Amino acid sequence: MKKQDLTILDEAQLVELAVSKNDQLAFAELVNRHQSNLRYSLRQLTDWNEALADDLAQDTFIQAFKELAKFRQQAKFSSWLYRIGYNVFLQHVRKKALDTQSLDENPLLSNQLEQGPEHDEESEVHHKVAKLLATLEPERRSVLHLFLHRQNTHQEISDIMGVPLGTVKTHINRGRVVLQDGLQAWRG
Amino acid sequence: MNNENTYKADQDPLDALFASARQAQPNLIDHSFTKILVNSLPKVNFMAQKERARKGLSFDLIGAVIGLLMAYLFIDQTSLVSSFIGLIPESLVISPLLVISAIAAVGFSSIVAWWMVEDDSF
Repeated sequence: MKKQDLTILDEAQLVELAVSKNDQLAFAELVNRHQSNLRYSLRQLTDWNEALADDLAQDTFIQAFKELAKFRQQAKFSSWLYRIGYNVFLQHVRKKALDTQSLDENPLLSNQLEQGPEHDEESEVHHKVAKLLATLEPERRSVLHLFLHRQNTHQEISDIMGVPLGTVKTHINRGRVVLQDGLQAWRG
Repeated sequence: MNNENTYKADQDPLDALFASARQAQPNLIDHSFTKILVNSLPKVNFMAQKERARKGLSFDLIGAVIGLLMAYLFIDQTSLVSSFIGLIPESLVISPLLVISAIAAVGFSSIVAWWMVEDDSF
């Protein structure tokens, strides 16, 4: 099948094609459709570390490709991909113990938030959000990103992350307080 | 997708910040990302994976059928049922101490369950 034909297929058809015909171009089309959102999300989760986020995104897609036969067609491909991405991110955090930076512990961080150095106005907001999210521990960070940025429901977040609904609600309530405090400290 | 948290966007600075980030989210177009990724994809035999999963399911079903058959042939169902019935007490006295103990047990179990769910180490 020609590449331009793949763009008209829905995701279930692309998965079926990749699995049954071992068609890597079909999977490449899935990558093209989701890479931007996934890479952006991972940048938000990794304190806007672009190289690290892209490495994690690559790992996520490779993992997704290996497990493509297990994908259930009734699920949303993006949710399934986010679940893998979240697990890849968490594995990395466990290995490298990615820092959770508190605004109290690191007064320079509030300055960084305020100054937003060397970024244009549009990209500054993304860096600010990433810096703010970095003050939360990784699981809470992911929940808050999915809730506040991706606008997923509590149930969707629970399904994506594989954590109980009550935990999601707790993370949102407590995480919001921390982020609001951080934002207030930054505005000063 | 659901925007159950957007109703506060006008009032809450946090929601406003995330809303502006969402609106300004860049489309990260990078053809080399997809190229590098596709080149590094491992060889995966999806048909073999499916076959393994199917065989695994078949073995589970065969095992379950053999287990049920053996249980039917070697276990005396009449004595099994009567021994279960024998476990049911003939009378039950609900005393205040029993009620307090039951409430304490349920309360303690609930606290332990809540703590296990909320604590990240589990």
